[in-house]
Amino acid sequence: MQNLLKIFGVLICLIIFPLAASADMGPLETIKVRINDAIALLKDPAYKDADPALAEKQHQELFEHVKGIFDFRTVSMLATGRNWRRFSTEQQNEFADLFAKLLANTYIEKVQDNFRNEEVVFDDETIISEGRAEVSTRVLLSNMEVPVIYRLRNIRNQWRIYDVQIEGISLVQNYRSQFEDFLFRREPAELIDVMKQRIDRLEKDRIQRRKEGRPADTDAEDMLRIL
Amino acid sequence: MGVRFVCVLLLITGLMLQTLHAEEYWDDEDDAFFAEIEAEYAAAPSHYVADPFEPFNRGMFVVNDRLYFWVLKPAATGWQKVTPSPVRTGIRNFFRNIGAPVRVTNQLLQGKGKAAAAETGKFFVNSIWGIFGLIDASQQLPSLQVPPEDLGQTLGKWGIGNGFYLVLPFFGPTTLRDGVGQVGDFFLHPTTYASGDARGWTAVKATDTINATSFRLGDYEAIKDASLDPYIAVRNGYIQMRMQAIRQ
Repeated sequence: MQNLLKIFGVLICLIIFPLAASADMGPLETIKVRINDAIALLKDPAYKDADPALAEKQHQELFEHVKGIFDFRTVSMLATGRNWRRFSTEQQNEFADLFAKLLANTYIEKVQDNFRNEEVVFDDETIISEGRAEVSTRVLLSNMEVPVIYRLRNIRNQWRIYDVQIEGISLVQNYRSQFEDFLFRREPAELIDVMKQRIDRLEKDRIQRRKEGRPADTDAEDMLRIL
Repeated sequence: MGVRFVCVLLLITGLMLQTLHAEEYWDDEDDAFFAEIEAEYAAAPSHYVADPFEPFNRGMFVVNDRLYFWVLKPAATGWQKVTPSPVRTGIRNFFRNIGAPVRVTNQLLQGKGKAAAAETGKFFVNSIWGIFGLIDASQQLPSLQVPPEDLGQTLGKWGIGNGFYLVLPFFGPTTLRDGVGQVGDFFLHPTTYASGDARGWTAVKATDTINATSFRLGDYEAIKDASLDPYIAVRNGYIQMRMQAIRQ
C-alpha cells in the first residue's frame, strides 16, 4: 500500500510538474517556446510532401497549437468591447470559437504556403501590470524586418496572447472597429451567422483548392490565362 | 481503507487537472481586465477618422479591388514568374534608395537632424557601394537604419489632424492631410523630374508598383478574407499605421 501511494505520488508530480514549469515561464519565454514549437511544426519533414491530406493535417495541428497560445475569449471580449455584454454565455463561447476559426482559416494557410525558414527574433518583454505584459519580436524576411508586438494576459499562471500588433496595427482594435459598426445596427446572433457563413466558405475553398493542387492565388492565374 | 484513500486521491487529482485545463475562468477577473483595457483605449489617441464621403470612398474601394485582381495581381504574378528574385529585389532597393530626398527633407522638417544625417549616409553608401542603389549595402550598418518620414507624417507631427478619410482610384487609402503630403512629396521625388513627361512618370510608377506588389502577393487577399467589412478593416488599419508612423 505504501509503495502504491509512493508510485502514485510520483505520477502526480510528473503530471503536475510540466504545468508548474510552464507557470514559471515569463511572457517572453512563453512566446519564444510556443513560436519555436510552431516553427518546428512548419519545418517538420513529415509534412514536406505536397499532399492535400497532409497539408490539412498540418493545418489542424497548427490550429490546435495556436489555440493554446492565444486566449480567444479575451480576444473576443476586447474586440466586441461594450457589446460583449449583449452576447449570452453560449453566444460568447460560440463567438470565441468562430473568431479563432476565422483567423486560423485565413492566416494559417498563408503561413503554411509562404513559410521560407524565416527567423523570429525575441527582443524584450515589458510587464504592464500584474496580469498584463508585452513582448516585442521581429520577423526577419529576406530583406526586411517586420516588428510584431504581442500583448499577453496572465490566466491561471499562464501567459496567453490577447492582441497582436503588426507594424503598429492592433488586431483587436482593427476588429473592434468592424464589430462596432456591425453591432451598432444588428444583433450578436446575426454576427455569429455571418461569421459561420464566412468560415464555411473559406474552409470549402481551402479544401477544394488543396484537392486540385492549385496555389492560393488562383484569381491571378485565371486572369493570366485570359490575357 | 487504502483503496478508498486512493480513490479519493484520484478524484482530487482529476478535479485539479480539470480546473487547470479548463478554459473558463471567473468573470469578475474578466471585468477587471476589461476595465483596465478600456481605460487604456480611452486614454490613447482615438483611431476614429471622419468619413463624410463614405459612399464615394466605398465605390473607389471596389474600383481599387477590381484593379488589384484584374490588373495589378496578374501583372505582378507574371512579373514574379519571368524575373529572378535578385532582379526584383534590386529594383525594389533602387526605388527605395532614390526616394531618399523625400525622407531626408521630412526628417529635417521634423527636426530630426541625426536621422537626416543617417538617411543621407545610407543614400551614399547604397548609391556607391550598392551600385546605384541596387544593393542595400547599408544593411550591415545598423546606425543608418532610421524610420522613413514623409510629408503627411511631418504635417501630423506639426499637429495637423487627418481631416477626413479618402480613397483614391489607383492610389488607395489616404486622408486629406496625407493626400496633401503626397502631392508635396511628389515634387521632392527625383523620379518626377527624371521620368520626363506624364507617360514616363506613369511607366516608372507602374514598374515600381508591380515590382513591389510581387513581394506581397496574397497579403491583401488574406486581409480581405479575414475581415467582416474589408472597407472598415482597411480604413482602421490605415489610420493605425499612420499614427504609429507619426509617433516614430
